[in-house]
Amino acid sequence: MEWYWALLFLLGMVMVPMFLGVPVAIAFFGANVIGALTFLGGEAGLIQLERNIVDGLVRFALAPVAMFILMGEILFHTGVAFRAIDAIDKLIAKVPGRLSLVAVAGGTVFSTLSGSSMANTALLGTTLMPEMQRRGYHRSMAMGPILGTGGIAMLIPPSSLAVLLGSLSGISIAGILIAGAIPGVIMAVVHFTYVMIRCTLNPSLAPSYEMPPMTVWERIRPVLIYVLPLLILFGVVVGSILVGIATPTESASLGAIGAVLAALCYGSLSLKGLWKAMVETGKLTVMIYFIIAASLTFSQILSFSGATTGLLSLMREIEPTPMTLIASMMILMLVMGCFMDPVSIMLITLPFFIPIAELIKIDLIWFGVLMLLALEIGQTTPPFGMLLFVMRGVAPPEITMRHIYAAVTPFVLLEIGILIFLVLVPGTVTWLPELIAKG
Amino acid sequence: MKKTGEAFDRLLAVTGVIPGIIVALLAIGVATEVFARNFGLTGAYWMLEAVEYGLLTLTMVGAAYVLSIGRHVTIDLVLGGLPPRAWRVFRIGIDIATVVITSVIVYYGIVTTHLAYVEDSTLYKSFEIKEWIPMAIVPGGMGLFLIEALRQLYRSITGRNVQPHQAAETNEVF
Repeated sequence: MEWYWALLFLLGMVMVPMFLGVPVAIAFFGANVIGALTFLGGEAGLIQLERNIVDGLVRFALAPVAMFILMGEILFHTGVAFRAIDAIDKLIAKVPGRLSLVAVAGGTVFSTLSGSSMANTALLGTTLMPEMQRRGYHRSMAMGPILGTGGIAMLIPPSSLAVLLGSLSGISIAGILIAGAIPGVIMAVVHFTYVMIRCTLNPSLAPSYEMPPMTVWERIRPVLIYVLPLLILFGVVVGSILVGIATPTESASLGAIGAVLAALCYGSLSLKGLWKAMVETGKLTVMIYFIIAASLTFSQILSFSGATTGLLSLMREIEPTPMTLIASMMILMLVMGCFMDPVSIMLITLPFFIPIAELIKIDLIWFGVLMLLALEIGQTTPPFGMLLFVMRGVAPPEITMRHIYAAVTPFVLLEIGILIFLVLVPGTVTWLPELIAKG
Repeated sequence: MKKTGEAFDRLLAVTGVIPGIIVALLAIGVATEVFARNFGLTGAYWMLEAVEYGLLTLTMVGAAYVLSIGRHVTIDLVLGGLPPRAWRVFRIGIDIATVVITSVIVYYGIVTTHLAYVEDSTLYKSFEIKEWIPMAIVPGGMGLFLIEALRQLYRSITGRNVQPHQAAETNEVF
């Protein structure tokens, strides 16, 4: 079979059932079974498939994903995260779009404590949406910033998706975690500025309201108590990787234990909260690892079928510029992001993208961060970006999906702008990891 | 039959909490190891391997429960917009595909485990472990998954599987 037919056949075997509603993991398993029979020598291939399921999951590098999820879930279910958001709410004074700015700042702070953009969106939606509605905020200014900042969690360390990308692609996990920090902060600053400009130009989007008089100390005190100590947790997680005393798995486990200690110190640790955090962590972890277990043989089959080599040979013949290739890969991911979840996109594209990135000799950490950002944008892209549905779950019943699409569109455009900026100025991403490597 | 179904539900409920417990135990174990190592105590050299087998176990043990609560990642591009009758036909098709594919995985999981048992092969890392033991976790977990997939197929055929209004809610990962 020619490599392009093999490629079409294998991609079709995964993507057609997936789009028809077959669970993603089962679609991968199905393609693997047929692919193993066709390209891996029949029954021997099926036995290899079973061994690959075990080999795929028995990997220490995958462990931080579960532990970062646990860390975020503990902070969420014990109420520690809610107190932090409340403290930031008190800190921000009477400015245009105040509650929207609280959403951006609170989302950014929670991003340093949670590796989950879904938890971010749910947390901000639950805590701030009712208040924004009560204050007469326009839907676009209520939901847009929350959805926009929900994705910052994917870039600012610790990020579960960054760890997953690192462990599946072979890119340095520590490198990719650190490299996401500056783009994450840039994104927060851009969102913050956008909200301020829009609400200044059109105050009806976020009507100002009288706030109870508070002294400076009354504003700062909750931040000192409920936010700054949590940043120690961020310091432990990221610092232990930087200093080299812990691997990403070890730092993630320290983060999870730190989250329990934080809840204990704030007197909000309860067995019920811990139990809920553990159960939710279990569900999310199984969901992600099950797809990984199913998908690893897929890249092996692609390789055996000649599809990967054929595609790379074609690239060598055409000799497209690196910029054309990167732009094509990003556009492909953005399009896929409209319909698919980030883990599935990653697992389908990585077997091609990493060899291509190596072929054109680009910085893999930079490329990894671009991938993360494209995946993150996909989470908020209509019609099927999953954060849109998380928002639908926490928004009042009268909010329709159309309202949510309209609210998120300016933020998606801003993030595409940031993606283009990072493509054009790679130093924004690579500067920090290089600095740390030199140190 | 009803009692068997209820017993299976209870079993699934237990398998639903095991993954979270394993993650928590792994976090405690790894953190303890880091402290021990950095304070000059003897670290648990086998922890790395315990984490690896823990990841395999939690995934396979919890997969059937996650299927039962409809939380496996699904793209509802087509399914979400179908009228009820067409939705039911599609649902049956999806359930049949799930049952067939899972059956192959279970069958070859048993074959591979049996092969490893007959060969008496051993994995040597931090500790020795017979290869068939981790191998057996796959057909074990996927066996539970198959039973749940068969139950879902039965429900779809008998019209007990209801079209969710917010089907895409299951589409949640990070």
